[in-house]
Amino acid sequence: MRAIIAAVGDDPAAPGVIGAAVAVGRLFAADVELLNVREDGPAAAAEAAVAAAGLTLSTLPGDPYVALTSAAEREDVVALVVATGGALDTGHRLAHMTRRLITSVSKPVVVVPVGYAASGGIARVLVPLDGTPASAAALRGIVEMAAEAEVEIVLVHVLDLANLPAFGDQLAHEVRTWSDAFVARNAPTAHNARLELRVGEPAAGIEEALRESQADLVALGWSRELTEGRAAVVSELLAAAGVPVLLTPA
Amino acid sequence: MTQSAVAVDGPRYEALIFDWDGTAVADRAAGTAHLRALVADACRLGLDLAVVTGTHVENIDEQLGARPDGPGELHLLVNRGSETFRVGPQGLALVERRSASPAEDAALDAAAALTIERLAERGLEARLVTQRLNRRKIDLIPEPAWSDPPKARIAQLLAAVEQRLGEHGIAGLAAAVALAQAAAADAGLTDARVTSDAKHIEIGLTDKSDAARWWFDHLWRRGIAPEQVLIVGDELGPLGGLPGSDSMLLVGVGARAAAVSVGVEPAGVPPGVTLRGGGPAEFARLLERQVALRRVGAMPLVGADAAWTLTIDGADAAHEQARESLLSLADGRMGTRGSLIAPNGASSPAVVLAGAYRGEGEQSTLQPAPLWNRLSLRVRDAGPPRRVLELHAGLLWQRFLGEADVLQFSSFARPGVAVLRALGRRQALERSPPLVVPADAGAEVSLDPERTLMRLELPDGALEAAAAQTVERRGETALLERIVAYTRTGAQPGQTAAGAAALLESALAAGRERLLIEHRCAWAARWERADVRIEGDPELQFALRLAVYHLMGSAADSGEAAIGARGLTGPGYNGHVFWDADVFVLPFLAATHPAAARAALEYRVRRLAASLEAARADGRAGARFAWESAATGFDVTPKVASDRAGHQLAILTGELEEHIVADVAWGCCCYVDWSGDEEFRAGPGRQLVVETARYWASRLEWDADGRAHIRGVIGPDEYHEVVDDNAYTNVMARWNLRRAFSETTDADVDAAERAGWRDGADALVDGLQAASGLYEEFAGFFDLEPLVIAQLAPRRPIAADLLIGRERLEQAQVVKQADVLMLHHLVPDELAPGSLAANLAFYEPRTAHGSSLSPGVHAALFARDGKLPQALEALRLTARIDLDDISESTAGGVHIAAMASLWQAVVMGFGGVRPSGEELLLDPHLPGSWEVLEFPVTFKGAMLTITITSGETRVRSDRPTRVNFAGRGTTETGPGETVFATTEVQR
Repeated sequence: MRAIIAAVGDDPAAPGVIGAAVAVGRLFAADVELLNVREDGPAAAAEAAVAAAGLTLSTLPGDPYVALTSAAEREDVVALVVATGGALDTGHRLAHMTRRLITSVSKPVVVVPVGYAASGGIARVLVPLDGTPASAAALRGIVEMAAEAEVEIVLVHVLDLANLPAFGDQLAHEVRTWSDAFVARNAPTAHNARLELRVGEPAAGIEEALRESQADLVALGWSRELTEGRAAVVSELLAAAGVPVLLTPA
Repeated sequence: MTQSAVAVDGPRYEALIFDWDGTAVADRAAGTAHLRALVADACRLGLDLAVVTGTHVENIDEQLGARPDGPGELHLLVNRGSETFRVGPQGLALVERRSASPAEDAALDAAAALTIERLAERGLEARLVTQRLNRRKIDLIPEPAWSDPPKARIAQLLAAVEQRLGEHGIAGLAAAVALAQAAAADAGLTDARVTSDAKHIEIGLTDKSDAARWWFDHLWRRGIAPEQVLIVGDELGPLGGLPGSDSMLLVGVGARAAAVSVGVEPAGVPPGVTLRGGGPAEFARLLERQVALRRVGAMPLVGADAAWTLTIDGADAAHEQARESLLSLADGRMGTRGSLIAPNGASSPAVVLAGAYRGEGEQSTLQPAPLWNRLSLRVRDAGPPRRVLELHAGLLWQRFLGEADVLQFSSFARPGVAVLRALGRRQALERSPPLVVPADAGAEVSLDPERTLMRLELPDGALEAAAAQTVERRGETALLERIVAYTRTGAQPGQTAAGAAALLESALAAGRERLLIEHRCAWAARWERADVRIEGDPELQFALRLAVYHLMGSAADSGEAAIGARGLTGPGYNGHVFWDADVFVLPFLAATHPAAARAALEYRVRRLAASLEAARADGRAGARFAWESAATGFDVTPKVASDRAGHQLAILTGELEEHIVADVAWGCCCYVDWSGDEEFRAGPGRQLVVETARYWASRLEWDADGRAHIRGVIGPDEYHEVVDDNAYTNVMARWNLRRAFSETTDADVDAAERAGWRDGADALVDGLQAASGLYEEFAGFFDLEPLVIAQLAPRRPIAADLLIGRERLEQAQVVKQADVLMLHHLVPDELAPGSLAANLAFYEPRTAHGSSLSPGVHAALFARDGKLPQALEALRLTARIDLDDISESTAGGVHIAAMASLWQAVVMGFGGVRPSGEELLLDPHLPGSWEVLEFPVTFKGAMLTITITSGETRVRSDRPTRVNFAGRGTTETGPGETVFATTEVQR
């Protein structure tokens, strides 16, 4: 069996986290386990959301970070779902607890933004690819799962000054030929994927593609480092995506 | 020189060269019935054989008595390298004979007499025993006891001779040979070949090494590499301090051949030679083994010369599709990507036929044909795959260790026929169907239950495939043989190909070995007239060979050849035909294989009617060839496309890139200028030139000052759309009008119309600024924002439209590719003399090389201008476009026109070759790092080979040819060789 752990707190983010967990669980073909990590037990808001989802909520005693990381590293767990902020911590764009979790858990982590309201399952996944083998490898799993689940995959690649192509022989053909080759190199199993191309600053390009595609989930490969100068795209997307962001360690 | 050691049973060789006396037979009286039968079998199974001997041909022919009927060849290399005979069913045929001049014969006589005299001075009696062709034979031991010693007594014979020599103060056989060499030199023979078989000393003009060299060269022309050859002798080791007589077979050109001695070899054998001993009986066993290997369908050895092979190890998903393009097989009519033959998720296998399009209009695209190159292998159990493409023989090998070895080729001798041979795990091979419907067939496919007949409907006919397959079981392994034939039916007039089944039947009748041999021979023959040799730059050498390989495979040499932007190596650009075919690929074909250039032009000729109609629809006269062309000849350029910024853009090239009209005419004249094909020139060629000129005449807009303009076009610099008086378009149109005028008379075309062409050409503005010598790329270009690429980007090539955005780009002096400079490349005589340097200095820094066509043209121009470092930099970039997948789009097929630009840069730029009327202009520029640049061209029917070194240029021609070297005026060269020194002409 495969399981997804969702960290549910007593806060307004709980329904969003639960909804995202259920949707991602279908995509991952995994059961959803809801864990409450407050030492004083679940409160009414979480209970209502849990009940609405038809799931049960388990409470883990002890230090929430330790409890969640320990649960996430279980062999059967394929992903962890957490809120951007809220009850686990408050006052920052990215909660301290969430920051600690996404930078330490070796499994994919879905970060659910404040105010997110799940509207059913995941119909469309946006997969930004920077063209590097590391990015392609990190996202291979989600691409395969999405293809298996017949979820629409929208790949997006943002060309910045550092990776502008050399040639553009005949625009009408070159972009298609180049795009086909890009998909073959970076997402060979995404047979029916659509590739969106943008030029400019990567985060802005991805956000634009996200808005236009109306994807329900963004999947990002990353190095689990949020130090200064690293993971700018991840930081930007976590703050601005408006939909759950799946972070997959490279 | 190191020979390859041979395994006991050895692999299958493609050719075998062997000594006669002592190796193939014990003596001249030995019976040869078994050997004769073996030779016949070996040749019938495709093995090439050569007998090397010192004696004359009658001796060998009478004793062997073989009359093989091929497809393997039997040669008798007799008289110590002085004569070569081919033996066939009808008997002997002299191939080559070295004839001594009277002076050489006199010198040989004198050398022999002097040798005998000097031995006599030491008291030793020696006797001249024979005066054979080109040699004299002296008996060192004319004693009855040693009148005819058998080979088995060689050690005793040597001891007796050396004792005799020693008794007369001569320190062994080597000293006697040295004495003879000195005598030969004194007699005036500077390159005498002096050898000894212990009993004799022979002084000659040739020896066995000449025979071996001839044969290895001959094998190369049959597509056989040295590593696929076995040398067998009985005297490969030293004898009496001298190299053994058969060691002369170990020549440099055959250094990678395997060598075996079946002799006694008292002093051992040289490094790399395998000593088997056993004499003629062992030789017979070796030959029997080769026959047996062929009977069971053993694989030939894979070529191992890094200069001629592209080897890809493993399966790297990220690069697999680009590699498939590089490894493609093509025969001019069909192309097959070099995909892993076993299922692979990253793979994009495809078979395409030239000109076989599906869909209509801008939807037209190459029809994916049934796949003949799929096997149901279990790759997870196999080792990492290895693929080797042998460029010289056009063979693709695949090895899945523990699962199968596979050989594939697309017959260059029988275009449309593909052959696959696999030796591997039986279960895997038995469940492999001969034909597989491609996933993207997208057409009505009819397929029989055995998957041996397939038919796909096309808008203008059908594509047929017929296959035959056998799987021969051998325990847990099996040999699979598959032959597939492809044809198009109901296409253009004259393309009524025989049905696929008939083509298959003919291939089956030829048999597997004949198919392989004729295929290799066909490739070798094309290489003979196309290979460019660069000594001093192995990386560039290989890239150039890969380019020439793909260029040769891209065009058929009969019917019509639709040469798409990616040749026959992939589906990219939908197989549409652009100006790439006319001004990039066609010059290569015209200079190396005119028949293929003619076929490329036939594609245009057959679309003249559509082009006339297109012009009429635009309200013009003449022929308006399509910017993008497919089956019908009407334009198939997409009208809208997304760019890499996610914007939908209108595509205007189909409407406005009109220079294609003149490009087609230029290609036509390029062919005529190289080939001298007067029939074409007076027929369809003239029609093409006239109708394109008519188009331009109707396209001119006249101003009040009497100047003519062409407004609202796109030139090669596609960064600037809808421009007026694009220099490239105008000057090419001017050239087109003038050429039409010169190609016609008032008897052919109305005098007033001809005069209109002449006047229109003279009135066309060309943007030349008299003071600077610069041509303005289009009206207003010099007023745009002055920019050089170095200000914008840290590197080139770069897609500048993405770098600074299309709006700024349109207002800036940023050029996508050679535009004005393309004129200097194509029609230098239309431009102001001496204007290249100024325009190169101005435009090159402003050029982003945003097209893969750009660097090669610049390399050619820099070379012509003597700026060799810049030329080499651009050349190296061109060479790596596909090898390094610089465009990240080689997955769609190789950039066939960029590959052609590489050839043009080397031959026309560095080599400085260009046809001009009845003479060939030759003005080479050799970089210091290159020791030799050598290439063949075919000019007006003459086969020329041009060899350029730092001090001289040699032109070898098979018939009289006019060459103008470095602008020094016309020199009549050929037949033979003419040497042009740096400062003077030497003949």
